[in-house]
Amino acid sequence: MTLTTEEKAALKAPWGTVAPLLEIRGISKSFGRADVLSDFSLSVNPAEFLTLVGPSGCGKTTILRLIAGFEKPRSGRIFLAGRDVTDLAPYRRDIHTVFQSYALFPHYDVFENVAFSLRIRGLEEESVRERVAEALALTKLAGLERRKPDQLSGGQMQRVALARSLAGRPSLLLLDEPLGALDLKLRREMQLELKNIQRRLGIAFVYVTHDQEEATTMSDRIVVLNRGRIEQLGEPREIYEKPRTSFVANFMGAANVLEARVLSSSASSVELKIEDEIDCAVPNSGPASAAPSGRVYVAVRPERVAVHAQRPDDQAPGILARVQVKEHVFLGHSSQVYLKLFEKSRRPFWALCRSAPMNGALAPGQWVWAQFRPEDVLMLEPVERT
Amino acid sequence: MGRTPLASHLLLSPAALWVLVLLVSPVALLILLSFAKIGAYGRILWRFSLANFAQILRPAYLWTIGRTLVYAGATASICLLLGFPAAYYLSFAADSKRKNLLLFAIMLPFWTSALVAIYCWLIVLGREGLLNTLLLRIGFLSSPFSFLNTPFSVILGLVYFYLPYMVLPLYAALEKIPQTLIEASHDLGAGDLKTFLRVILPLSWPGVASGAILIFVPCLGDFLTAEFLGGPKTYLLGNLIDNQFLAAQNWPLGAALTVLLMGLLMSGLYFYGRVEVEETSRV
Repeated sequence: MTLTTEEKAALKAPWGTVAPLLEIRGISKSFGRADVLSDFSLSVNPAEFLTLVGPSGCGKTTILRLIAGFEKPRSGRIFLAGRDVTDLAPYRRDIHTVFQSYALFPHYDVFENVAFSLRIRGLEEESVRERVAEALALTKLAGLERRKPDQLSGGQMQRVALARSLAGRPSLLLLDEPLGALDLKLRREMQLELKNIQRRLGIAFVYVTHDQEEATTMSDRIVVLNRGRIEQLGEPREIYEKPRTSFVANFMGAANVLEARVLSSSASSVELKIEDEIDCAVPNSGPASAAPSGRVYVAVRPERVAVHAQRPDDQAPGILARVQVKEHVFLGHSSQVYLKLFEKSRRPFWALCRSAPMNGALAPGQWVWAQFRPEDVLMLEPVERT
Repeated sequence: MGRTPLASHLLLSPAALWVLVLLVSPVALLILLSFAKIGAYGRILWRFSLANFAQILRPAYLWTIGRTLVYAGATASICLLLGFPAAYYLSFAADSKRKNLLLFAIMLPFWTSALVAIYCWLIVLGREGLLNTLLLRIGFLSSPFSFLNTPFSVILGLVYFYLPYMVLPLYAALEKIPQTLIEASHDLGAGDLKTFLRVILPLSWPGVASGAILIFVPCLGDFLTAEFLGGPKTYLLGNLIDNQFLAAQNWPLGAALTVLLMGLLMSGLYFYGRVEVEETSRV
């Protein structure tokens, strides 16, 4: 079932770009009076692991249900492998879903659950057995064929749901928070396993989660959703390192979001005054520097903030601020230091330190030095204010 | 608990007495009676005999017992065929307003007196009844057909009375099927018919079993329907018992027939219990 490089290359269109496997064009969907999606577009490439991530109510599950065919869009079209499937019933689409609740058939054992789609298609007994065995081996379920769903643990049920969807060899697999009900340790294991299976089979996965760490672990590309809109789409590293909005910066990892005034900008760098206090020149990363209001949001990742007891020597320059400690939280492998950046600043600002700074002898009220590099100041969207 | 066994026995004694006086002793009396002999003018002779049971095994009685089993089975089957679409519609298609109205309509026969309903059927099915008038009028019949005193009229009456006992448990079973299972079935390529056959029907089996037992068991003891809508040719076990006690004044034979009926009911309930246990161990 694994795709060779040649096969993957064959999937590409002759002009060199990959023809999308799934294309959502300008979909709108509302439930009652609430608009969940309006003019939403997205494409999924063959054999890619695409994750839709966002807070609850952002529309990610609705998108999945529209792709599967359980919901009909008010307007817009959906194409699967170039074919318009918008009006096709779910059972006529070459797409399978792994449900959040697993939705295993309680009256069938593991074997028959996995064989379901094969029996529907009327495959011969021999190939049914072969493909069920294959799917069970892939999901490490061999030996549990005759168990009923109620005799399985949560992790096993999850695997059966996955095996059942894979046995039919769909061209696209949808996964709706499939690991949500598992405990943290099992979830981590399954994340790696899922990624592994996806890579081996070369099936495109569209994965829905509200867990940013899960999204970063597994995905080729991430779609960050907020209120039915795409906030940002890109590879995990790109989204983490170059968030475009304060929502993305906050949702994908932690961020200290501050306000800055644009003093001047050139093609390569932007002069900022952060929180009306700190002057700095940061690399010009995008159109945000052309904000009409002249104000932008910037973000600094807590792990990029260093805390020093003494003023560091000039050999390690960067942005330096004399700050007061508000709270020091020891986490074991690291510690969080909450700081009061300026007397009048009400925005929270904190640093994530690998080891406890100053041997953990930080007390609230103490004055320390906070330091971060200009290249770690991430320019976000303009401040829109009247 | 903290209570001594004696105290709890004492506290339970009123309930035990109630069961003893109202439940155990009548049944015990009935069983004793079934082994007694009949004397002149219906006098009961308290002498042990198996004559009553020997009499039951005569062809005339066996025919009635067989007929009862067939009618009860037919009633349960027809109720299943009629009740399934109704229950399916109620749980999957109807909106909540219509659902409540339909549930009310289905339960309506419970609230009408059985006798009133039977007289209504007499009016419908009689020689000069509604049905004959209608069929004569449209030219389907040339002379009135006697619908009464036929298996048709008796089974029709039974179906009319017992249909809700099929619809309600089926509805309860279908309501319990999660929507995601149906979605999962569609998702895996099964259309509506295959989803029905492979997911909905198997999962509604507990409802089918309860409905069938709830109908089959009381049908075995029903005598009103056959008494009014049927005749000697369609008499059921219930009528036979009714006859022995009230008309023939042969209480021991009536008791023996009742013991037989109880045996049939018990085995029906035993079977039902087995199905239930199997289901609960499965789900």
